[in-house]
Amino acid sequence: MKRYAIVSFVVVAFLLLNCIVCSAQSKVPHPRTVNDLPIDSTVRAKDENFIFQYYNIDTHVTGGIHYIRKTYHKNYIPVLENTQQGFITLRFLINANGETGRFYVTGMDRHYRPLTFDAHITTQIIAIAKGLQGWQPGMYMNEKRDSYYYLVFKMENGYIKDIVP
Amino acid sequence: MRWLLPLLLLPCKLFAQNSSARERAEKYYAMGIEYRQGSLKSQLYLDSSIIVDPTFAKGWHEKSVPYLKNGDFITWKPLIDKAVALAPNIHLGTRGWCAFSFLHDYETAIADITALETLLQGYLPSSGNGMYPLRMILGLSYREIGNETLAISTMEKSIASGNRGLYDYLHLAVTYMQVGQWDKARIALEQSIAGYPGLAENYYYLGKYQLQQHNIAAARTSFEKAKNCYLHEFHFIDPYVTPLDAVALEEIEEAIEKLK
Repeated sequence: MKRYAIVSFVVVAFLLLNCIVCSAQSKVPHPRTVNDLPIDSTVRAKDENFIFQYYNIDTHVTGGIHYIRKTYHKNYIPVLENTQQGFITLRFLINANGETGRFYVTGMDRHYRPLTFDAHITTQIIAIAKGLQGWQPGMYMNEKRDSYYYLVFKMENGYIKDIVP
Repeated sequence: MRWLLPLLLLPCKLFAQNSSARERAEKYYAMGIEYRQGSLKSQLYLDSSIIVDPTFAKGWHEKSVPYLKNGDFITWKPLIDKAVALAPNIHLGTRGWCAFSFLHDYETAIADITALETLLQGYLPSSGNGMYPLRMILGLSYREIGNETLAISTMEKSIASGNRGLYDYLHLAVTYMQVGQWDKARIALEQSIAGYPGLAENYYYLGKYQLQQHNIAAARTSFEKAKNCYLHEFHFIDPYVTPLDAVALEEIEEAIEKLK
């Protein structure tokens, strides 16, 4: 019984701490779901209380990854002196009107460890993403809804080697 | 604050049940997956499952999934690694398939799938979504790192094993085309069409083959058929990612435009 008491105390303490940390991270109502982005002034969501993920409601861009790759191929200038290898994830919001904002970049090396990429790379990646046109917000219950989307850039020596998903 | 209720009830539940750690973990897991994936409630229940039983691989895996789907691979990786360490025969294939699909991290995919093959003494099951035999994923990974010869032999072995995926012959055909084995590509495309006659990609790549054979009229017909299939029947789609060898409508239209 004593062991159960200790375990239950640890569990409750952990979970309460978790709640306190979560609630301290940003203003209401975040984070209701893991990886919610902090609210900012770049774009207004139709419903801050329920933002979908792109795969829940088929949010997409006209031309798909083919269009995205072509746009980056045309506009991205390789940073030749850079020797970093790994992945850059760009997560952002597409609101119910098809407007984008809340761009958030994270980098990691090939072993999935955090890595801060050269700002000459990341600023270009964000700027080109802001220029992508033709976002089609997904539908839920016959209504256009807000959703999060992300792009992953496979980086090698300042070049974009691949873009997923 | 209604979600606080399960937390407050937690000690009562623990005292009330004379069950093993694994049974309690299973209960919390079952409660966790009732809620929206990645939601606070879901993650808290999954946290509970792995706190009461830290050896509960299923809990670690399930907790990792929303991070994967949301592109937070830095958080996903240690969680899935824990699941792999606890139950490699179940989760090695999942980690390799996810690295392949979500990141095009072919090196991790190859390492994980070959490790699983060794563990299972030569056998490889299908991917987590059931769409792919893992051996096809292995073959595609070899292709994408530039080892087409090993890719083809691996894909052929996968098909011969009888564990078939919907797109096996299509991937094999595209790989044959990449190395200039055009007759084999045609045969594989015919097999792909026989198995999946409404798939746009089948006719797009058939058109590419016919272009290589200088049969312009046939290529035009194939590209038009690809467009028709894309608009009215099927194309290669996955809700999370754009699969390898999938074709966009714009690519088909560009191919048609070039022949005008």
